[in-house]
Amino acid sequence: MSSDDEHEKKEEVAEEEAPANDEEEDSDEDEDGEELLAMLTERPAHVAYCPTCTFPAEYCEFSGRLQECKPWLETQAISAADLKERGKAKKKEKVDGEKELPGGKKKKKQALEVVVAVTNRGGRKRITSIKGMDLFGHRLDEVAKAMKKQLSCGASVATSPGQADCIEIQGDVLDILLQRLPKKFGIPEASIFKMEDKQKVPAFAKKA
Amino acid sequence: MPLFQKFKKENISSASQTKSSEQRKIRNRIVEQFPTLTDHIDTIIPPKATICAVKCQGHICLITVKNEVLFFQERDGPYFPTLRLLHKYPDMLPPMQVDINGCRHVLGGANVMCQGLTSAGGRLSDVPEKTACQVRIEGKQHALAVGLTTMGSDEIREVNKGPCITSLHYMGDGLWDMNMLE
Repeated sequence: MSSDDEHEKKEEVAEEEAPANDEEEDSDEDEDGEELLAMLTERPAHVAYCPTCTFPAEYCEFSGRLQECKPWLETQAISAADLKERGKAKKKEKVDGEKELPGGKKKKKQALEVVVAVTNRGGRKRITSIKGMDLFGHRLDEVAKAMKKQLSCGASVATSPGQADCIEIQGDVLDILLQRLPKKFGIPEASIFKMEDKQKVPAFAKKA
Repeated sequence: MPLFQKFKKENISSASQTKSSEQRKIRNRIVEQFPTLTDHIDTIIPPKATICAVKCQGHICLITVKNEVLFFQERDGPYFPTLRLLHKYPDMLPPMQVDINGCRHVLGGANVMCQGLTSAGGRLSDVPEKTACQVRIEGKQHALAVGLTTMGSDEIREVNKGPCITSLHYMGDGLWDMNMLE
């Protein structure tokens, strides 16, 4: 049995069956029809799902991805030429790192960079914060520990809701960090930024 | 909001294998709810197989066998089959057919309106309210969604206005995408 004929017949009988599918219609078709009916009522019924849109072939036109489904539909011996896209167009695959929040706002893609900033904590005390170490594959608590040892300072991971975690080091260790980050932590110089007057500035400006 | 619209792996809280006493209870309940499955229950849930109860946020429990999700239930309510299972055993649930123009909406998770069922392309089965049913589309062989009637079929014909079937699980929702779980 060529899959061609098989499927064509299936479609035909299905149209008849769909409306009154509770009853086992003994159609006035020939024996072929009865056999087919038996096959159709065989359980579990076999369903072919489209590899692209995951729907059964008859719903590809509603998937929003009819164009991509077409090649598979051809193999199922369904002419997709007449089918029109009747589904809601699916949003494109989200760009890596982009998150769509409820309400349609898009969360900014987290740039692959490390930002070092120095802030004041009362009087002469400073805190150096490093954001973005985790984007380079480092475990923040391990980095904090290493920093503590190397710099003889207090260091911890600061978590704040809604913001990426950052490492906070007591004191102003900006310059030392800028030396250490590329060497000891393998962060490419081009990805390191520092905050200068509330502006993000590349830490390793190329000298003209 | 439809049950499984935003359902993802993160919504799963725990998965545990059920004891054989629990398994028997589940099997019996399913056969009770879906008498057409009496002959097939052993294929769907083989007696030796382990049923895994996967608990999810929102008091939802998924019944899986061999990593395939078969049924879902809310709190301790009735079991509903996943669409994929329904496709294999289409006689499980009474069909309620909507005309073709409703297809797009059902696929987006919308509830079914009376007019869809009473229109030219629609077909109603005689069911009371609060019955599990499958939503079908004229001209299509496979069910599009699993729903619960909010009105009896007589009422639907009479009132012919407003939603009559709540869509619980539809093709393309989070649960549809997740038919194989680890």
